[in-house]
Amino acid sequence: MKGLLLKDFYTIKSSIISLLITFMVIGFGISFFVVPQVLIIIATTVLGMSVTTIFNFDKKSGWVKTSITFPTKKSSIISCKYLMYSFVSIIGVFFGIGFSTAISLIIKDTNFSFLPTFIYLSVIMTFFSGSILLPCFYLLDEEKSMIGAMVSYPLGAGFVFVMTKLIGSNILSMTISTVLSLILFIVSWYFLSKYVEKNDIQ
Amino acid sequence: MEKYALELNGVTKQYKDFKLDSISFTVPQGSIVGLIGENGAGKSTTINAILGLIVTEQGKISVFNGKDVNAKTKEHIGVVFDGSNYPDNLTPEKLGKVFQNIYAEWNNKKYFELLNKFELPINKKLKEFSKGMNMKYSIAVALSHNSKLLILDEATSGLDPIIRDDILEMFLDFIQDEEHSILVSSHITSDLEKIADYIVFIHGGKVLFSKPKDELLENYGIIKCNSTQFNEIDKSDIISYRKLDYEYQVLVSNRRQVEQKYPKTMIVPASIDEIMLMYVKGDK
Repeated sequence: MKGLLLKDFYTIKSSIISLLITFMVIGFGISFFVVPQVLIIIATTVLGMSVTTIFNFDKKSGWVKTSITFPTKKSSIISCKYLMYSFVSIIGVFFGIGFSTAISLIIKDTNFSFLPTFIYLSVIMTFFSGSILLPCFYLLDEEKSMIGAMVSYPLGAGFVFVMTKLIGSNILSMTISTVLSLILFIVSWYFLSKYVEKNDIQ
Repeated sequence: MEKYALELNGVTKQYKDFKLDSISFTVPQGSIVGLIGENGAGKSTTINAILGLIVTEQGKISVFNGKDVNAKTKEHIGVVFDGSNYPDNLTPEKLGKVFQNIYAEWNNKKYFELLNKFELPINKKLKEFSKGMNMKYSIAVALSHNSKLLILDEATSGLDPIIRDDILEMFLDFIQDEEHSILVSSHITSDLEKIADYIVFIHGGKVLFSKPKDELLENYGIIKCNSTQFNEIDKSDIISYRKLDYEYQVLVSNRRQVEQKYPKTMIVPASIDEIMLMYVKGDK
């Protein structure tokens, strides 16, 4: 598992660096028009999405086939993607917090009251969208898997909207949404691992 | 009792338009077994079944004297597929670090020795490697984690004769340790004639035969005759035959006896290629 994670890290390392540089340039521009804390959600989403590119890369390079010959469980190829997605998304949250705070100080907008809400939203979007994104990118081909990306984020936003309508726009609503999205993420991880164990590798 | 590095017993897998039909054969410890057959015969499917890439419906696959193919036994199975199956944006140096964290018995010293022996640059991305270099790289990886069984799927196809010869030499070196064994599927039967101890012939998803190579080359023959001579041949002696424009070719499995039985006919030894061709294209 550690080796598989290391390979995934090497694969996306260069793209993460270029994504972060692009994000900082665009994020600085955006921050003049919106609350800087929005950048936390953008950073988390952009970095999380970078992990999905590994799926297609692995399929094209034949790594999926090769990794089955390793002394690891078949489901390890799935587990390492879920772990890498979570890890990179968490980096996105922290990077987003740091960058948005820096921007806030630069533009002298020091109202941090929205910070907890945007951190919650980032975590909810990460887990909710990831539970749809990751199976789509594993099971579908490159073109079709993009449908997963297009569907998962609006669904994530819809989920937050429904929860705030049901419970209200407060910390309780955000906490319950976070827990539910985390459960959904774990369920998705479990079922995709089971699927891989019991089915042929394409 | 003979020890087996690999044993397949009644392995079956049904697809919509193809069936791997009760495949059974063994790879005795210390031997090289060549898996032959035309495109689509089921060679790669068989190898995929051994490695767990596909889930079989029936049968049993065991390695190293009856053990299941699992995470523990895969530690000692080296695999080489056709072409590069590693991330081509990484260098051998970085991949070495990856494998070090995958295989418990990864031998970094041997890995770099092999890279050096094969003249493979450690800091060049795999996408800059030629096909031959990629194949050598795959072999270096397969040999760097104390493999006892090598499984090679079309590992020499598309390579020039010089690199192929180098690779065959490596296989022969590897087999010097009597605990080591190789299963190699190949279209290039001349390579198998050089190195294999046993030949397993798969056709239409079934094993047509599994025999020692020397027995095949020693006993099989092709009778070249006209139609009158062909009609005189006892049908029980014929495995298959082909009617060409001006002669009949008849595959027999007991060349010496047939030579004595039909002294007027011309009988030539059959190569593995010819045996395969006669089985596939000949009439029964």
